[in-house]
Order: sequence, then C-alpha cells, then structure tokens
Amino acid sequence: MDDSAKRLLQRLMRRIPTPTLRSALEKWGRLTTEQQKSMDFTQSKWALTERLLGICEVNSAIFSEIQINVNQGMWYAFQLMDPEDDAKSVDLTQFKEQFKSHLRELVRNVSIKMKKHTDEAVWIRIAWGDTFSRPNHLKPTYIVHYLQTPYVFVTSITSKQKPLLSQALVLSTRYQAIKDANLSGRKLTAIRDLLMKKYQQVFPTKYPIPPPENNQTISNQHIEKEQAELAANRLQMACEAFGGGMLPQLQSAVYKLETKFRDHSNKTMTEREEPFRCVVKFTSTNLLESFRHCASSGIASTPVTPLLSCIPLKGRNYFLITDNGPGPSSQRGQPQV
Amino acid sequence: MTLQPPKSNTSATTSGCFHLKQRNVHYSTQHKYSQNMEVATTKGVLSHLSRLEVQKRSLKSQPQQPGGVKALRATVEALLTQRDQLRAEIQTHKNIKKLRVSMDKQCTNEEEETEEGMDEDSENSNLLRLMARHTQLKDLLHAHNVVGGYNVVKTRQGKGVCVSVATFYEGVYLNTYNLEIDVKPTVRISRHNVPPFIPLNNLAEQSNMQTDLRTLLDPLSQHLNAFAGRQQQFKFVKELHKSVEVMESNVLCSLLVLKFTVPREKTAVLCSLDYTDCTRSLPTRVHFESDDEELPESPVWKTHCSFLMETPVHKALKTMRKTGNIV
Repeated sequence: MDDSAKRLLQRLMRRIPTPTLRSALEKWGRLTTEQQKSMDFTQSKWALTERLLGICEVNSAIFSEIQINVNQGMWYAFQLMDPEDDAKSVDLTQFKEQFKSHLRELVRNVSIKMKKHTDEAVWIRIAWGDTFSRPNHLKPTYIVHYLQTPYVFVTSITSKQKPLLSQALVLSTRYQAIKDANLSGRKLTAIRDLLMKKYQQVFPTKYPIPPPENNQTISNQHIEKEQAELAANRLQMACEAFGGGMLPQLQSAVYKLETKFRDHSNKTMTEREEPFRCVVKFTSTNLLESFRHCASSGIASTPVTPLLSCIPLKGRNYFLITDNGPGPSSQRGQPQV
Repeated sequence: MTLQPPKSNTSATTSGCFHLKQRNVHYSTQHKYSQNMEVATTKGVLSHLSRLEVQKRSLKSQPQQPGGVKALRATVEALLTQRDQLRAEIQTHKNIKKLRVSMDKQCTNEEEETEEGMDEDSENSNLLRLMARHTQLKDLLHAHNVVGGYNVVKTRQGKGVCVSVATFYEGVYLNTYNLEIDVKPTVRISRHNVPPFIPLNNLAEQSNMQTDLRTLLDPLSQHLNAFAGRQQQFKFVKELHKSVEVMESNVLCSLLVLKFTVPREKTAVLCSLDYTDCTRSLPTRVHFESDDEELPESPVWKTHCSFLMETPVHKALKTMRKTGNIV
C-alpha cells in the first residue's frame, strides 16, 4: 500500500461519523469476520484507523472497491459498438497500456489504477485532475469491464468526463463507438448479471415449472383444484418473461412517453403542437421480482406485456416510447420502443 | 506347352489401350517360347487364333459342375427356404406396422394402454410389441438426427420454436443454452441465454436460417461446445494444478498464460496459450518465455510445445508434472 493510499484511507475514516463506522466497515465487506471482530470500536478513531491500515496491508485490499459512503452510487451500463477485427484478441496488458496512454493524452494530471479480478473483471479507478489541479481522489470514477464483451459499467462520472472516458475506452478496446445502454442500478452485480445473462432464464419446455411450496393452509379445495392449472400457466409465463430463481436486483424502470393528447372535449390540449410528454416510473427494492410476482399471482395479465418483459429481454430500464401514427386525430399510433 | 494367360486381370479396369498394349507385349514373349516347339507363328491374326484355341482347350480341361441335377435341386431348396423367411419377415413387418400405428396414437393421446387383439399367443405378441417399440425409438432417433440432435419444442401455437443446444466435454454434460426463435413471418431469434462473448448475431447473419435452421445451429453448437471445453480445461488447471500459476485468462477462455517452475534450477517459464480459433478447444499457438533464453529452444521444451498444441491443457500439465519437467 503506497503512501497516497494510506493518506486517502485516513481521510476517509475521518469523514465517516463514528456511530456509523462499524456498519460502514461491514458494508464495505472487505474485512473477514475475525478481522471485523478484532476491531475494538471503543478505541479512538485514530487507533481504529491504524488498526484498519494494518488489516488492509494484510489483505492488500484494492481501493477501487471502496464505497465507504453510506449512500451507494448508481452504476450505468454502456455498450461498445462495431468491433474491429482484432477486438476479440485484445489482452489485458494491451488494454491497460492503451487505455492509460489514450486517457493521459486527453487529460493532464489523471491518476489511473487498473486491476483484474479473479472473475475476469477489469476494475479501473480514475481520479480526475486538470492542468491546474491535482487528481481529486475523493471523487473517483470507477469503471468495470470484461474483455471480449461489449459492456462497460461506470459509476460517479460527470457529463464533462464522459466523452473523455468514452474515447479512451473505444480506442483501447478496438471498437468503433460506444453508446448508453439505458440500464442503471445501485448494484453492479445486478446490471452485470442482466446484460451478461448470468441469471437463470426459463425457456418453454415440455415440462412446466413445479409450483412453489405453499405453506398456507388451503382454504377451499375446490378453488385450489380449479385454479391449479391456471396458476401453473401464469407462473410459467411469468418465469419465461422475467426469469427463474433469484433475479438481478433492479430498483427502477422509467418509461418516457411522447404522445399526443387525445380528448376531443379538451381542445386546448389536443391542439398543442408539441408532443404530450409523460413519465411512468416503477420503483421497488427488487423490481423484476415484483413484476414476476404480479404476473404469477394474476395482478398483471399474462402473457406478460412486452413493455415489461423487454426489461430483461433487452437489458435496459429506460425507455423512450413515441407514437408511430401520423397526425393528431387519426388512428391510435402503435407504441414504438 | 501351356501358355501363360494374359496378365490382364489387374489392368481390367484401366483403359482399353493399356490392356491392348500388354497383350502385344505378351505376344512377343510368347513368340520366343513357341519358337522351339512349334512352327514359327507370325504375329497378328494367326497367333491370335492359336491363342483362342489354347484357351478353349484349357476351358475344356476344367472340372465339370458337381452332379448338375443335384446342385440345381439344392439351389431350389435354398431359394425356397429363403422365400419362406422373407414371407415371415413381411408378415412380421405388417404386424409391427399395425402395432406402431396404435402405439403412436397412444403416445400423442397419452391414453391408457389398451389391449391389442392379437391372434398370436402372448409370447409372440410381447416380442412383436418390443420390436415395434424398437422401430419407434429408431425413428425417433432418426428424427432427432435430422433436426441435428437439438431438442426442439414448439411454442406460441406453432409460430415459434425453442431450441436447446447442449454442451458437453469429456463425457460430462455442462450448460444448456436455449434460443427462442419466431418462425412466422420470418425466422428471427427473439430470446436467448447465449453469453455476449459468443458472436451469435454474426453467426445468424452469416447463416441461411430462413431456409435451413441448422446453418445457424451447427456453427453455434460448435462455438458453444468449444467454449465449454476450454472453460472446463481452465477450471481443471486452476483446481488440479495449484503449483502452476494462472497469470491471465479471459471470459471467452481464448487466452491462458501460465507460469511453470522448472524443478532443480527453479527457473520460471511463462507459457502463453492462444485459442484464436473459437470453434476449437485446443490452442492455435503455444509460446514459452523464460529468463534462460536457451530453454524454450531446447528439444525437451519443443516437445512440450507440440504436446500442448495437441493435448487438453489440464491433461498435458499432469503428464508434464509426472515426468518431472515442471513442478
């Protein structure tokens, strides 16, 4: 651990309020249970910091993963487009060298740390500076990328920094462009699993999914008997649309509608030139789980509407829906995603 | 004096010109032999005639057909038994066909097995039933092969199919990947769980999937099985060969860099395995690097190089450790 890292840890520890220190370290999750237990929280903060530094030396924990802030940042997904022929043979050394050199060409005074994890994820930590100021380590940008896949996950980046990062990424991964994947969430693992298709998906087979164990006492045998097949069908369709087992934890889905107001009794609204805009936002602690339950319990009609099932299908949770039809008073336009 | 028969047997299939040439050659040697015994024959028509005469004589001296009538009678017997056999087979096939019709109906309707009214006794009918089942399974296997061995399920009232591609390596089944494909109005992949580093979109564009789905499925299966094979090999290397350090790999399992330690000298050798052909589970290039510059050029390590090109890496490492070449 170098000196700058030590100083950074000391400053971070100073910023965390003492009562929340224990939970913050637990959330960080980098200490083993024994190490966590060995921290005596009755000691002074300075003593605790020294102890933590000692543990970190042992763990050689990488600061790229510190999210000691209580509020976890949002992760955004980007997609690289149009690979060159040698994109699939880019190896780690080449990527590291190219990324660092390209970014340093664009930004003076930038601190870049890159490390590969055992699950093949490349973590990049960038502390941005400029011609006049040193890199700001308190507001770093974190980037996660798996080589030979087109997805990049980014957190804590400003709109000014985005084009610089995009250029460095495109050039070093040997693609031609990068675009917003319209997927965001608080948990990196969730959006990663959704895009890399690492969760359990359900496909039509000859054998339907067995219904979950029902611990509730069956109120009426006749109702159960009648509803059993319908319930099984709903469960199958819900799982086909959203997935089986544990689902990636998304927190929200946003639909931005641009349409025309249609109510002949309200002339002022219908005669407006600009499209009528409205936003529909779904939020939940586990959005996909909620949707799946809505479908399997019958609250939402099955087969599941493509507006909802395209969240896992296309791997995005931000949609812009526009009307397709011409003119204000003609037939209803088809929503186009 | 017997003349050798012309050596035409082997050249029977070659062109007539060649055949003729051999005969002409032979006549000249014949000429030498016959000079002593007979009047000098001239080449051409007369020698040809004399040759034919000799042939006829040799034919006559061959043994006669054994007791002509007896032989014919035996042939008749054999043919009769063959005819009876064939008749019995036809009858069996007819019965099996009848059974199959009812069996196939049973399979689709999932009815209870009904007793078939068979004329033969129970042993015979059981045997027939077994044979019918055998043909049913063979047909099923054939249909499975026609589809390419992929599991296919009809979806959306016939407007779509769901294809399952199984992967396996060294006799162990691994992940199964699924593709939901719309069939009408055009053939289009609507959903799948193929990982993003497998170039599914490229394979779909390059295939002829509108007319033959197998032009997509076969290359895809090749890619997926090769990937599964490489993934397993990497996993075994990490699990079974802890003394070999994995320096680098990637999600596509197209690159593996290992660090060997040579015993005795304790030199480190860096081994890079490139799997640039994603349809194969063996490397396309093996490269060694070491501080000792002569080491990769030594014959021992050259054999290691070719060994690693041809053997799955976890097995190759096992051998290399056993023979004491690496720790």
